[in-house]
Amino acid sequence: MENKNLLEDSSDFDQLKKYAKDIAEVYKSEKQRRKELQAAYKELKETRDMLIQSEKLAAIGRLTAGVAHEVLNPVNIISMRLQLLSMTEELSDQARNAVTICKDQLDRIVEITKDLGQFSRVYKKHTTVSDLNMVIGHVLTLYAPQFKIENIRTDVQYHPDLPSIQLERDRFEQVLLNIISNASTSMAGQEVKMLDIVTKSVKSGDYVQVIISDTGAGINQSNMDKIFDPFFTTKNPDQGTGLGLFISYSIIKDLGGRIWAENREPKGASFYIELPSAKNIDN
Amino acid sequence: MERILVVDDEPEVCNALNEFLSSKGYEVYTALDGISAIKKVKEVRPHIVLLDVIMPGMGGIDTLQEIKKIDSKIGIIMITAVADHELAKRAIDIGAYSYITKPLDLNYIETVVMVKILDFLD
Repeated sequence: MENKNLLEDSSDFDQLKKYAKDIAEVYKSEKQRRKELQAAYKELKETRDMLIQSEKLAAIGRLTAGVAHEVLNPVNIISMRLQLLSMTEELSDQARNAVTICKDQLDRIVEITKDLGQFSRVYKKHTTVSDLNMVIGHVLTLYAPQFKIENIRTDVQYHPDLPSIQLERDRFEQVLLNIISNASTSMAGQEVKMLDIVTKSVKSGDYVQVIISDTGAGINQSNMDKIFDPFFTTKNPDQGTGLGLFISYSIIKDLGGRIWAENREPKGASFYIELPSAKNIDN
Repeated sequence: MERILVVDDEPEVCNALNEFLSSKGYEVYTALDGISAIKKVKEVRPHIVLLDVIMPGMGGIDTLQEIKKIDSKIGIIMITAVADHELAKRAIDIGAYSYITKPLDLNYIETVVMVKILDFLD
């Protein structure tokens, strides 16, 4: 067989170049396919995790609402007995003071049970078409003095043509306040205190997203699947009950949206809220 | 003397309301369930019924309907541990006079009862 030098033959060389190009294209397309598969796998995994989270929280919600209801009955009896006691004229100052303390503590129990009850309560929704940018602006105005005191800087990037959304404004504002309050606590003692808020239109305008990021301590990875659980908190006991994110989750779910958190680089955490746009609900 | 019937499956709720309302000069009766409440209504014809919404057996809403059939003028004040506005609206639609949530504020109960009693006097 003749030993032919391929490079000396220009037609063979062209053929070789064509093969190399074909292989490069196949490789490129395979790489792209692999990337798409990885993205699809990631999305599938996230959806599965969210479903597990959703099921878990729904079950906890039913349980806690039941417990909250049962707790209120004895609380009601204790409360009435204390009221009757405080109506007694011959009560000493010391005893009257003790009754007042007991009443205040009962009020705390009532507040907690009311918060817990919110989770599984079926609200008759009073939603209005709202501009998410405006709602965020309103909440930031409310928080402005606090930011000043705590030396927190804010950077807000509003999407200019954000689709409008159907909201129960009061409840949604409560979610924003919960997240901002957590961010503020998480940034306490940090050198740089920065709160970034971004609004986006996603999925061809069918959904809007708000991302609230801080430069705080971030979320310990082992706590990531617990942060929406009731009573889960890394704060000191006097700084919160651990119900803020639990309630926020419930509100967002009620609005047909989803909420999740991720740690951000180099430090801090981001909370993502995704809500269907008004046009998506109409359809 | 104006008569008030307190209906709650928790005896201690009945006792506390009995003690409080008696001290305010009302004639107080108690019942621990819907069936006993209806029997008591027929017997003593109260001016006001303080009625718990969630009770085992005949619930508060059914009891409300039955009492209204006996005497539509009786002022029925619904009591519940849950601030369920839908349930409140339903009770008011059926004919309840008012709706209050636990934990009960005794002074507020006295005011609501007094306002309804004044209706009877008019």
